[in-house]
Order: sequence, then structure tokens, then C-alpha cells
Amino acid sequence: MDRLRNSFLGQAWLILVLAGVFGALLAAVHLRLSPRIEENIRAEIMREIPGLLLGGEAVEGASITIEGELVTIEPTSGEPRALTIVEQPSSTPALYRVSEGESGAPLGWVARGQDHGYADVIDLLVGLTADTAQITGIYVLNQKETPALGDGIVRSDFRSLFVGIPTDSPLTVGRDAAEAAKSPYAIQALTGATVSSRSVCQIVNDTVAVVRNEIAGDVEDHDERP
Amino acid sequence: MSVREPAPLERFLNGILPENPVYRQLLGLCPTLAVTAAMKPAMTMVAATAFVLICANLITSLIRHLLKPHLRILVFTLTIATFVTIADRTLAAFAYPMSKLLGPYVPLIIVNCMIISRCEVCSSKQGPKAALADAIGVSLGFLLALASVATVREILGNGSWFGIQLVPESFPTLILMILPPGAFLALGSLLGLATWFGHRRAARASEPETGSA
Repeated sequence: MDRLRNSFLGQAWLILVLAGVFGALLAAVHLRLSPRIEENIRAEIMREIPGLLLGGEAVEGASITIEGELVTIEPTSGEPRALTIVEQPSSTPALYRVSEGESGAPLGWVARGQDHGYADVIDLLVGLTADTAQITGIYVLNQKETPALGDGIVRSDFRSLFVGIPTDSPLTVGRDAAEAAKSPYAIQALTGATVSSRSVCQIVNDTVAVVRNEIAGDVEDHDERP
Repeated sequence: MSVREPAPLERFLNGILPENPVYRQLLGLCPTLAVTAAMKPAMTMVAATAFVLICANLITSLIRHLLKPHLRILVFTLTIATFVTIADRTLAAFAYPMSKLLGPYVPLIIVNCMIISRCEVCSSKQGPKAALADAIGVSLGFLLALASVATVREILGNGSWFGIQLVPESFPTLILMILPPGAFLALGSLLGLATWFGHRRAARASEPETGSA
């Protein structure tokens, strides 16, 4: 009897039972809530895409209406603008093709990329010009980096460092302003959060590489058609 | 000799003021400092923490006779982590902007010493009635603490309360109060005030005895 009580199962049975019960409970919660959470994230992506491609000033204070794939931006002054955002089927990472109006000129691409940061997964949106030659901006969808240090990656002053950088060479991270000024592809790291800054650059590099390959493949497919 | 455990009503009342988690025990200071720039995030944090505390206290109390002393912390952490995940997912589903605003502070409820201390002190030793009363009392104490700090910070820093503008926008506000140093200033001042009141009450209570001696 004592042997059974002192065995691994005799000691840990309660933890094993609780782990099973709590695991089932969390699975049920996930099944119930994940469609709603995904819908919230999709709405956020649709709201942020215009700012990524048109620039923050163009959408500042504007009212944004989402109707399926059509997003209408009504600025406080000036003409309303409509964009069509189409998610490319079976693309990994998720890739959105953005064009002016209902079937107008292509405006650019926005891709979703994610990887590990310092604390947890960083989930990003990366905006690219129509020819994918330049980054138009980045937006942090989700992060759990260290408060007051790594979470600075969501700040607009850090994100603005990525705007206009060419995509023909991977981004690098400079520890300070002097190091960052040496290369047009260098991003100045956040003070005390070099790992988070490096992770963001790595995600942007990986996402850009995948998107460029995917879009190039698409172009070749179209070219090969009679 | 067995130690007398407080009755449910005593547990409930103790949690609000005499054993207030923030002002008396200095527990749960991370959310107190981090999410009190305004009332809305502060109250959301209180609701999430109260949900986790009530569920963890009840579960721990129900299985208290099965707990092995050397494995109890593991059971507490497992229970707390489960309910924190449920709170986090629920916020992301039904209050997405608030979930984004609170960021990592909701998952950080797992390491809030206030919750694990209630499991250790009360629910692993007493029945569900006392555990529930204790969780509600401590949650109200936490609500009082976060509401007081958030009220001071939002009114002084923004001129508003729960987002409602109380003073004209032209009125100068102390931006510092909604920045991280403002959290330390507000909490430090309120802690000093609470301690001063506590000492004054204790001194008044002992006055008749001193007088008669």
C-alpha cells in the first residue's frame, strides 16, 4: 500500500486528473470563442490596412467603414476613398491584395507574419508597394513583450522607421543611432529591447521574402497562360 | 491545539479593509501600477482578477482534502492558469479593444501573489462557503484599491472619470499622472494616507484604555 502511495501515480494523480479536466475545459472554451476572436482580428486587419498603405496621416481621424472586401475611408476633410482588400486564397502567410475603388489600380500588398519575440509570439502586418519594392509600414497585431521595454515595438515612432525602406536587401538592426545610420537597411533598436527589435526585423524579412516569392510565382503563372 | 479559522463573514469583511490586498498586504502591485491610468482598464482588470480568484478559491476549497502539502503550489498554479486563460480568451472575444489595451497584464494575473496567497491562507484550509466569502471580500478590496488609484490618476491626468470629461478641456491637467511615474506617485500618496488613517484609528481606539490607566 505504501509502495503505491509513494509511487509517481500515487503522488501525482490529482495533478494528472486536474490537467485532464482543465485541458478539456480550455479546449471547449477555445472551440466556442476562437471564431469570434478570429472575426475581431479580421476586422482589425481590415481597419489597419488603409493606414499601412496610404500613410497614417491619410486615415487619421477618418471614419472607416468595412463592407465585405470594400473599405471606405471618410477623412475629416476631403473626398472619401474606397479600397478593395482581397485575401489571397491559400497563401501562407496571409496575404491581402489592395486596390483603389472596386476594381481600380493595385495599391499594394499587406502580409501577416509572426514569430517568437522576447516573451511570446509577435504578430505583424507588413505593408508593401504594388511592385513589392518598398515597405510602406508595419503594424503590430499582437505582442506580449516586456512592458515599458519590448512593448515599444507598437509605438508609431518605432514603426515609422520601416516606412520607405527598399526590400532588395534584408533589414539589419543597429544598436544605436550611429550604427543604424551606416546602412539604409538598418533599423535602430529600441533601448533595452534589442531582442524584440531584432525579432520584428526578422519577421519583416521573412514575410517580405515569402510574399515576393509568392507574387513572383503568380506573375509567372499569368505569363505562361496562352 | 487547532487554530480557529475565521468565519465566512469575517473572511469577507477582512478582505475589504483590514487585510486589503494592496493597501495592507502590498500584494497585486503590478496591475495596480500598470493599468490604473484610467478607470475602464482598471475595472476590467478587477473583473478578470475577481473571476480568477473566485474560481480558484472554490476549486481549491473543494479539493482541499486531496491536496498533498509538497504539491499544493503546483495545484494552485494549474488552477489559476486555467481560469486566467479563460478570462483572457473571453476578453479577446467580447471586449477586443480592452483586451489589446491590457496586453500582457491579463496573462500576468497568473503570477499575482494576491490570488495564490488566498489559496494558501484560506481556501486550502476552509470550506467553499468561507472560500467564496474570502474571494468576494478580497476582490472588493482590490476593487477599492484600483478604483482609488485610477480615480486620482484619471482625474488629475486627463480631467475625466470613466471617460466622462469632468473638467473643461482648456483646464490644465497633470500629464505625468497618466504616465508610469504618476502610478508610483498616486499609489505612494494613497498608501501613506491609508497608513496614517490606520494609525490614527488605532491611537483613538487605545485612548480610553490609556486614560483609565
